[in-house]
Amino acid sequence: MTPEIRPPDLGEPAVRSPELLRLVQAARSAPPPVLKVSSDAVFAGFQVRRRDRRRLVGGLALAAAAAVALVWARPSFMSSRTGTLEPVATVSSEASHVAAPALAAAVRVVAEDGPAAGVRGEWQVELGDGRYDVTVAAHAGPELLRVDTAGGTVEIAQGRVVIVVAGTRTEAVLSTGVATWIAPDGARTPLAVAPAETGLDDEPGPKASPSELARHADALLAAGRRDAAIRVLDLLVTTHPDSPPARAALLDLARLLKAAARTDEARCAYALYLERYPGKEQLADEVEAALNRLGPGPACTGLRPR
Amino acid sequence: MTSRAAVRDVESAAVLAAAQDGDKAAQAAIFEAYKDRVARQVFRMTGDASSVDDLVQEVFISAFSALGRFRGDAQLGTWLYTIAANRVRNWWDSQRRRRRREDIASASTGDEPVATPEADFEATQQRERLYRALGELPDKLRESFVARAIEGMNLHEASAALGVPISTVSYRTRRAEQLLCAALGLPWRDE
Repeated sequence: MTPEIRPPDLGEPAVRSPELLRLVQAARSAPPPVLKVSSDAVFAGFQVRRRDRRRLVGGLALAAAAAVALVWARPSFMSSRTGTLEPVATVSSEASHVAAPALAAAVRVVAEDGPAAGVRGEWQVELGDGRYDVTVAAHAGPELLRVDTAGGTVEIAQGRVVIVVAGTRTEAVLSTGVATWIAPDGARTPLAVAPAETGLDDEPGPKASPSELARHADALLAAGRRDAAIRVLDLLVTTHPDSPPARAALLDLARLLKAAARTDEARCAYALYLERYPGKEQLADEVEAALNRLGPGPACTGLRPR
Repeated sequence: MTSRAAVRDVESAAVLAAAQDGDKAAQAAIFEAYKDRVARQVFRMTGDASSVDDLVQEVFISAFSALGRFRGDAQLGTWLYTIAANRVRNWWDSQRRRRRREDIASASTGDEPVATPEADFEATQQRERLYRALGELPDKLRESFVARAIEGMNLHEASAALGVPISTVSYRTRRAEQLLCAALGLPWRDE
């Protein structure tokens, strides 16, 4: 498509369509999130990147030096009679005693479930299937702990990471500090600090308001506790059906039940939504479509399948 | 909030040079002066609050790693905007890949109503609709539209931020609007 040549009117509106403008205004009105990342985390990430870059440059330089040395030394170890490679000198691995590596003092790896971690060096461990609590205390040097698993690597600058390994699947939850996930293809993703679970009870207080229940369900979801969130949302839509948060909570509940493979209950939740909020036509269409995708099932009494 | 005095301070050559050398205090000063602005930009560009922390961190790490290439012929804020736009491009790429994987894995994911237990439910739905469509636009069209329509920049500001002529910003924004209207099933009238 060729851009039009006519000069733009400097006062032209950014959006001409009134219908699109409504969506744009919704986007404009969204309050920006509260930023949790700190300058310390950025600084630690910067150091990691600089270190990686230096390693890369050093590695390339070493490789180049090795290549030059190989070319230069070739006549001394290439036999002219046989044409086969003969080492100039050999170093027997048995000749020198190599002590088993020990972890650096700043590192602590606790196997909460599963075999002990394999120590590959002061700053490198390998984990098998299990759950591990890994802590790297603040230390003076730039060293990073490298935690290898079958599914990828966690690089920890400082802090605490709980790592669960199951086959090629690895889950790393950063409680504090700075760590990076390195996928098998080398892609690096800084880990975000997981929301603290301290004081997050499964059951909300008996006098919790609908909004408090909704926030509590959010917090449980953010902490990865789906079943507990389902219970709280169920409580919200059952005990405060006429409250403003109940409508969104009911949709959330249906979606979570479906994700938890509790299909009959999800069907009931969607059906209850359509029963309670028939007037919201556009969304009702979408909910109806979601309900249809679940297929037929038992009749419901409120949220419960009969 | 970014105060003008703070911005002037961190744009001094001494602070920039120190930050480039890895001075923690200098980097912290730049971060504190610009973090809210970058976070707001990233949020407006992605519409995804949960990704803002990671993206802001990546923007500043990239910026501090590349400060040597900042020659001062643009404002630091504009330079950071460019880095943020590049990071967000990568983010949209990965989002599109993830969405396609999900669409393949589950035919129901695409039009599933997504809700949050928040009072402003309609607005959330509208935002999600808009950003889903924005994610399918070519990067340059999306960036122009976000700068003009969502961030509220005028043509001059968007031209400086995106590093393209005013006429290009105008054309791309209008083309983006046309494509968005088509994707969202909204009427579009060219004047």
